[in-house]
Amino acid sequence: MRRGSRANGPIVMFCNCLSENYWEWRAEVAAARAIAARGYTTFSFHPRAHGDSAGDPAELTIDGLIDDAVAAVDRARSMSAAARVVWVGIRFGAIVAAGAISRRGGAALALWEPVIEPKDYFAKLMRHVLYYELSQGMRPSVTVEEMRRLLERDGRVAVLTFDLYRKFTESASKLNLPGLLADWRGPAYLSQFQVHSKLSRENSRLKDLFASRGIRVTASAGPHASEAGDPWQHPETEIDRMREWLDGLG
Amino acid sequence: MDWAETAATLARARAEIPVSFAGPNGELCGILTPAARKVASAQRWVAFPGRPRFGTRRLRVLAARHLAAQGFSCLRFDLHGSGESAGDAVNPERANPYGDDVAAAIRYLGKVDRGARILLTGYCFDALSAMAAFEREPETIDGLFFAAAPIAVQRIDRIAANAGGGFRGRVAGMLSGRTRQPPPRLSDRFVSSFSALIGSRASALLIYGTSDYMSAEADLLEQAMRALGDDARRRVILERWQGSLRSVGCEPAIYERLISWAMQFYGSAEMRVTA
Repeated sequence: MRRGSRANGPIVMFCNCLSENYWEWRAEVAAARAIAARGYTTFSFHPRAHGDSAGDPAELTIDGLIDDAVAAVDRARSMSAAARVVWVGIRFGAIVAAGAISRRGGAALALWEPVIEPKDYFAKLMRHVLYYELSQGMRPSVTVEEMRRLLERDGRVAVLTFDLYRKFTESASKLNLPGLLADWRGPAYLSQFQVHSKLSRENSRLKDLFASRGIRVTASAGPHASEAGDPWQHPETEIDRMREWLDGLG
Repeated sequence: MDWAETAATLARARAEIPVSFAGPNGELCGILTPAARKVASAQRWVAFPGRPRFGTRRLRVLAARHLAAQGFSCLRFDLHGSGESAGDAVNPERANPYGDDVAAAIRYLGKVDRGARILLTGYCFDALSAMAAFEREPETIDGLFFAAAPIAVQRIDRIAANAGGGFRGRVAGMLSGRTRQPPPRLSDRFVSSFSALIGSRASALLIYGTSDYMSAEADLLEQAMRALGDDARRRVILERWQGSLRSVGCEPAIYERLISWAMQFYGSAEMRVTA
């Protein structure tokens, strides 16, 4: 927890999990520090089976991750006087933040390159294995279909930076971001962490869906601090824009 | 090896202490995992310099807890520009390992535990950084576990190298953006660190996969090691594993080897001390 100086400011809760990108955690730390320097109280945590926390990834379920986010926000509220909570969902953490909002509510929600449909996301992770092996000069050792079969048969399959477990994928594949936020109408911020400066088709659809529900949505899609580099490695521009959005919430 | 959490490793997790210490580029942050008291091996430390520790495939975290349960205190820390440590987030370069960060960690451990003896570990760039610490703080380092790090001047293009000369070689060279590659050689940076390792009293286990693009770099190392004296060849071992150390899902095997080597290494060191 990083304590801010604003008397009536919200608490900014970061939700991150799985972490497919080397720089994601670093980007979260940079954002939390920058936002705290602006006077906001922030809270970051490692959910079960992640980072320094206890837990077995084979036993992970989406409900367990949402339970952790709820426990984290309850703890954060008990440690601060903040009445409002702004959630920041990073990649798969967007699904977790949305699940936590459905249980504990939230004044606003920022989404960093959110996973929208977990089922599609898992398939994409499997495809990335093939691309990686090609980039290393290897012949792809396995097809996406074979990875699906392995997951079904063995209960686990390795993707690039973590292992997918059947228990987790089965629990999460039933959900999606629009469904979890069906009853929520707070202001939202959608940040695209891609090299492209135009919103992707998926993110455009999400923005339009939010707008059709009457959600006030602000979208950001670059240009980034590092035009050609990895936006996760250089998140400064996105952090500045999110700070402005936070300031505008009042 | 079963990586599932046990009561012993969970107890080590609960005993962990977040720490920070001064590095050359600002504060470095890490986690100290104290050894279980009942089995504590006096002043034996395993240090894991590295990059992020977030995520579910956190073998460094689990390895540290496992080793701590076996009696070795561990320090995991973020190199500068990574995780929670200070510094600019830049892409690591083989020519510029962060040996100064590792040296700072060694000095920190010396303050925490006077007389600490340290085993350094690392994979890829982290391994290069660990080895570079031998140029700065060799006295307290007992050993080095070094896995799949780039050690040549530049990446040796495996496709071009395999294609050899002739039409295939030219096509592969064009695809890789180079029509003629300079003869491969170990980088001066690596040679300097490796020489410091050889000049120390420390032992080391270096591992490479035979099907990785780095295998050609390990060939250069193997050639260089033939020139070493008997004492150095006893202390510094190169293992060539069948397959890849960079393939998806290979990490558990690497960390299992680290744990078995550390246990064996410190086990025999303890025996030497006793004798």
